[in-house]
Amino acid sequence: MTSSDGERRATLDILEGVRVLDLGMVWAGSICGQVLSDFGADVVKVESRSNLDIARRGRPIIGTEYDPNQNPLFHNTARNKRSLALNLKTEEGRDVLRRIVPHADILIENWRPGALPRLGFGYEDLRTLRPDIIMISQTLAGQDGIDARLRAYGPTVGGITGLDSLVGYQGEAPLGMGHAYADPNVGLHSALLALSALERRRLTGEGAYIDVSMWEAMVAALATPLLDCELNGRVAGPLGDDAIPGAPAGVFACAGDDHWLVLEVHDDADWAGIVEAMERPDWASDERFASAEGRLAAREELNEHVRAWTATRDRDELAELLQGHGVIASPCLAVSERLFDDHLLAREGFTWVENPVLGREPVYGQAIRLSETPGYVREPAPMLGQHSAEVLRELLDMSDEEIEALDEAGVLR
Amino acid sequence: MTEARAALEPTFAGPLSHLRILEIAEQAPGPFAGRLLHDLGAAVTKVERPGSGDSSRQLGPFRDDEPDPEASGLFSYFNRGKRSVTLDWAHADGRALLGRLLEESDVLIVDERFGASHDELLALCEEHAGGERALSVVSITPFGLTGPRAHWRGSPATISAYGGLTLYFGEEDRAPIPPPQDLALTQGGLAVAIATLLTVLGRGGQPGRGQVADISIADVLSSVHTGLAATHWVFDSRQFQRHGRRSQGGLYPNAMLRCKDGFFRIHAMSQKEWRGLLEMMGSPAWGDDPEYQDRIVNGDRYADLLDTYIESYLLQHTKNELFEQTRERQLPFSPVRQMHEVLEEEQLLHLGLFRELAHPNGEQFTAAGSPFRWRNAEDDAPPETDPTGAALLRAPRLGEHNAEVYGGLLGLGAAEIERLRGDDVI
Repeated sequence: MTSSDGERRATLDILEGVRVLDLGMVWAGSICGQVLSDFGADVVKVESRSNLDIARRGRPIIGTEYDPNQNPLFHNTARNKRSLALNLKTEEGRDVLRRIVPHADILIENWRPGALPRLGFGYEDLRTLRPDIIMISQTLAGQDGIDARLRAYGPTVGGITGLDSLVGYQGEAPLGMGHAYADPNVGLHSALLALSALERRRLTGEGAYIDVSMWEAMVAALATPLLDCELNGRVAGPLGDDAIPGAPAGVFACAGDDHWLVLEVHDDADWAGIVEAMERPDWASDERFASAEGRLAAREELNEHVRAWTATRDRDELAELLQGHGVIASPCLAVSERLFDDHLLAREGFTWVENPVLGREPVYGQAIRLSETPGYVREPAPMLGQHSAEVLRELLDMSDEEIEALDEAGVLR
Repeated sequence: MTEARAALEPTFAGPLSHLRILEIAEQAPGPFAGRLLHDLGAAVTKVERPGSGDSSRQLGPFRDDEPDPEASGLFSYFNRGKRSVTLDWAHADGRALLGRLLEESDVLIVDERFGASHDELLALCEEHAGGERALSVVSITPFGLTGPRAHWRGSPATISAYGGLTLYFGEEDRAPIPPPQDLALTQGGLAVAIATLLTVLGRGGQPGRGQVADISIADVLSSVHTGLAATHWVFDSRQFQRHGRRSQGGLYPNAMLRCKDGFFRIHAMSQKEWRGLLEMMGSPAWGDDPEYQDRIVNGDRYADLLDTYIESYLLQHTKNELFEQTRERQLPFSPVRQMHEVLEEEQLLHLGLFRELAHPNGEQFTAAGSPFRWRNAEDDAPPETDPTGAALLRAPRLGEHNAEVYGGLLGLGAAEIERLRGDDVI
């Protein structure tokens, strides 16, 4: 599928032979399995139409009917995974899962606390089926307490963690994050914990149960504003681009539609660099600007000069020019630009795959770039139930007749 | 265990207590990775430049804004439980000392300040291959070690801009807003910690050869955070845009709306949640209007209008009253908290997230601990809090463990240590 596939297959994948039962849902729940699958784990997504993953819903791309096989989010986070459609609301479905668990190393889930134990798949149940299993429960807020059963999505976690209160223009009411930052954040935490448990199991032969909380993980990532509140009682609010340190510093409009440049000048070398890049304008020789303190005191005045300079110029040329003079600068890239950006492409930022429904499409690459055993995108995301028969034959030695009977009984959907 | 070996031993028993990590990295991304690994039991030793050390020691936030390099909030938070030695790796004697430390380490974490190329890092792995620990190196830089922009200088704001986050935040007809600075950096740190485990697992428990992980923070953001937008864009040329208080993607309603004393976030992904919101508001007549039944159409055509309808209800209630209503109805909506409210949130206090931590100078403050609870199969019950126990271990003073590490572990004599100090090597 990728041109260098054969070449890459020459090295052993780090997680080859590790099987993951992925009961992770939406965005947060799916990233752990995605990371593990990129590095060679056999990740089987256990899912069902009776409890359809929200990541499979949403606006259809082709046609007007909802279709579980068309969601771009799912296509990114479920690449490399196999799909086993299994209705756990049926006794037969639960029986199949009980028989599969002994073949699994890791089970990851983000169902509501208590939901899986009620179906007979709590950690105590799983370890009787597979003593060294590693179970990762990704929760909003742990297993007990007033809000353990609270429901939330990434954006609402932005609200309860205070993240939303920090984003907006300076001196105005907050606008909020609008991006489900908490989802990938806890997903990456889960991947770290799963790998740590695998490493410990390698040494001790023992499994583990880990509960990781999306709410806590988000709060723990908000270091500076929380520390400032604790140490000084200061309640942070929106700062706009005043949050960018230095002078001049900020987000500047350039020529073109919605083209913006971020730049920041800190020390005297940076200042010499930007003055040189601007071809030494007269105003820059003002003595007030000779020191970092003086420049900070005149930040808005300096920013006005920079604004006038960038307004008619090309964003990308300015970024290259400033970086060439040692100044920290970057364009604000739109998604359509990132997809074709030479730097991100050189680092395999996106891989094009052939999706059975949508055709050729890009999915994001693996940002953890290992020199000897790289992770990569092998297969497009599965259709719902695409690998049901394959998995049942392979793991449980089921006959075609048995599989057909389960299907007819509505278990494999 | 001999005293000499103890110098790099873990500070508490955790799942990764057999791992020794050296960290030559400053401020947030590398140190956050070291902190995550420490929380799992790894022995993490910071190698800092003699004199000033990790620049976050100067950054604060400081109590009462009084600068004190042994009491920076950020440094204390990202470096708790680590050891600190000083060493000038640009100096030949320092480089030799570093080589001896690397012989005793599983993974070296470096950032752009270490200044080595991808090939140089590979050579470092080669040099320390075959031993008991088979060194791997995890590099974290703004734009990576390879590619046309690898040499670019970076900062949280510029990395967020390149990674595609910044253009999302703000109002459509105004400038984009950089996201809070720590966010990009902590995501980079998570990738470093994951890479560390991958390189360790990659050894398969056999002595052999380590490898280099080349992590660009811009790549991390451009993939797991904003990458899926590329797939959207290919099929629907509308870009993800700045939408003020509205979330990216999702069906209507998906916004932060005004309530009596602040803001409340409404995010309904399913029809059931949408109906639940309408019921919570007392089932207003407009909720049954045939015009507003398709939530895709609502989002495309009526979002601003319907927002005002919903706000007319929210404005009659405080965020805590609304939170109580959503708890009762099990709806995924939330108050928009401010920082002081987060520190007092009942559920977080119940989970024991906030714990006592000391600065290197001994002063106590409160900070977030680990966001997870780990139970080993052989334990009868899960620990009540995270595995680091009740008290978080404080961050080190600059060079606090020089004698322990150079004298104990490497067996240098007092005169030699004094000479190295005199030559500004340590």
